[in-house]
Amino acid sequence: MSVRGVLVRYGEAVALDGVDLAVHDGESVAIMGPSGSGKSTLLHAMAGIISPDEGTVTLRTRDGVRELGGLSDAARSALRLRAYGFVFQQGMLIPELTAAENVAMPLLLTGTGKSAAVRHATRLLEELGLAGLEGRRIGQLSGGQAQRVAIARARATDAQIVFADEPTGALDSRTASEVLDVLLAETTAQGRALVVVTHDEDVASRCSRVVRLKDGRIIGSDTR
Amino acid sequence: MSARDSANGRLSALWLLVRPARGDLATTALPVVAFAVISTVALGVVALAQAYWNAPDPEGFGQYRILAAGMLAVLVVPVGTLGAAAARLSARRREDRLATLRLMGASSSWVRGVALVEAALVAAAGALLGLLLYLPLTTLLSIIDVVGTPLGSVGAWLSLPLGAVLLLTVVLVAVVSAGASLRRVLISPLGVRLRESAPRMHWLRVVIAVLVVGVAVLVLQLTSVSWGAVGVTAALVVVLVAVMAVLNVLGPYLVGRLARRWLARSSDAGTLISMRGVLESPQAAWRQVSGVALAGFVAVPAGSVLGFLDTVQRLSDAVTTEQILFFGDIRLVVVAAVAVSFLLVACSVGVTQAAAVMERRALFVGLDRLGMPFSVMDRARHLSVSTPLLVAAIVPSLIAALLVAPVVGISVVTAPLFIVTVAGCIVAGVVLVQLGVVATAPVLRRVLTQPDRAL
Repeated sequence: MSVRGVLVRYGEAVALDGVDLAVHDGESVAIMGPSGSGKSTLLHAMAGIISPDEGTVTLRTRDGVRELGGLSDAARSALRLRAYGFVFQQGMLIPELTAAENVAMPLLLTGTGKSAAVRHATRLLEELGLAGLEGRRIGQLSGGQAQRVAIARARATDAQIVFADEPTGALDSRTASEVLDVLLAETTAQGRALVVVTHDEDVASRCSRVVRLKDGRIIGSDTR
Repeated sequence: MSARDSANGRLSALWLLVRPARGDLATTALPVVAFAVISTVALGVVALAQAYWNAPDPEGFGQYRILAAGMLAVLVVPVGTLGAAAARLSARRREDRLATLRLMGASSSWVRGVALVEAALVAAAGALLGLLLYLPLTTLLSIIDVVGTPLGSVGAWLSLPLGAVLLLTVVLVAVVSAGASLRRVLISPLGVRLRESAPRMHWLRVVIAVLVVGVAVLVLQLTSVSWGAVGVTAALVVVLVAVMAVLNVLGPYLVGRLARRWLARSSDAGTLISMRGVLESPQAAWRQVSGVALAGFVAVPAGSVLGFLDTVQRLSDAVTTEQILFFGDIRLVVVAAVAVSFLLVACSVGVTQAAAVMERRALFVGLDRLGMPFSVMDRARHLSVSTPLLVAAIVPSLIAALLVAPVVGISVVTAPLFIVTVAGCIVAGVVLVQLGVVATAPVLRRVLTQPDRAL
């Protein structure tokens, strides 16, 4: 993925001011910075959730290079469904559904039959240490378990890039470390890219690169 | 993957999302019950209106048709308000979930489809329940005297096509309202809800209101029997619509002013929270009680006219049997319209309050964590309804009294009991509406005890 000269404005406020960034397969990139520095905006621009006012975001997919700005809303939705995975602070899981149904949802949206989708989801949950919890609703899971469900969902469609926004923000340090282990194992260890927005230095220290933002600009990039 | 497989997968996803969920029953039930009430009321009111519409009209003036049209017109606003509130509740409790689906990559048209199918299913379930509730009600309706004879079991029933059209209209109202309330989620996969300050309303609203009411008074003064049934009906409808439009312009302005004043004087947390909530959108606060405004606006002149007619009936030998029957029918229609309006508004307030608790879940949970007692939070909810309710109960009644001042004046002197009855009805309606808030206290308790669970 390549981000070039991205500028995003909210009214008169400039959230991102000419950001350049490249993310490669198998790489984990932590985006850090104070509140209001543009971290989440950058993640949303990379994920095609918002369109930048200037600059380009391009992604090399199995079908060729795609420039996100030139895609229709429907095409960006399809891209999120097939190429991206998301793990957010609250998981952004659907509380009325069971753990297995949550994981199966993107598969159902891509047209997989229900029994096959739930079977695949159950297998993924087992791999992530959630065997026996497939039938539980999200409210019946701990914070760490819910984040594992979100990670399993991100894996369900074999996403190229996983975006995580404060994935351990609501967890205690031990659970946070365990969730991060799983997240890295399910992404970079398998050749996928991981982009994490975080305030947590411990999380950032586990990533292969740390990008620091301030006032919408990149002020530093450390490769480990 | 074949197109058929793809369709099957999407249908499975659709079913997972729209099926009733355990633990979600309370908030699914609320809109279903609201749509059931609407359907029952609509069936009953239309059956009654149909009977009046088909009543014999030997003099050819069409007074019963005016009565039928008036009854339907008065109930359109509270029915519409409740329908929209129920559909909004049904859609809003899913907003976060739909935003998640958008983030995952579901297309906006698919997400819109999920929401609309769900709203239609909820409304259809309510309409069927309403039809079932209407069955025992037909027994009661059949003994009501219309033009001096009981309506009868045949009169209490609607024809199949008319009944079906009514129930389908209920579903349509739900679908349109749900679609309108989902626009924000469909714009952004994040479902971002930005708190914006409501624009301050201009005092010019008061000037417009005074002008329109002045013109309405003039029209009513000029209206005469010589205009015929169509002319009189048209004049009454124009005045009713114009004044209701004015009330919807003036009401939010007055609600905002009152809330700002109470906020400035508030010394307790409950008032502070409730008034801030009202000021966030005085229009929304007004909308939930606008049915009371219409009921008050109709009840005052109708009660006065009934009082006046009662006096005429007692003192004059010239009143015919047909006229006495007509007075009785007017009384029935007024009582039915006011009672049903208040019932619908009470349901509407209950549904709106349930939606408000869910939308402001984070606020209530945060206040609970701060140590705010449940009673204070509950009082804040009551205050947020009683502020617009006060305006809705008083201002339209005063405007109505101004419009038909001579009749009200005569009635106050000759038949004060009617005026007292009207005032009593309005007070009873206000209490009924507050009961709508009381009914949603369990929703707040549930949010506080299980803040992380879906409602």
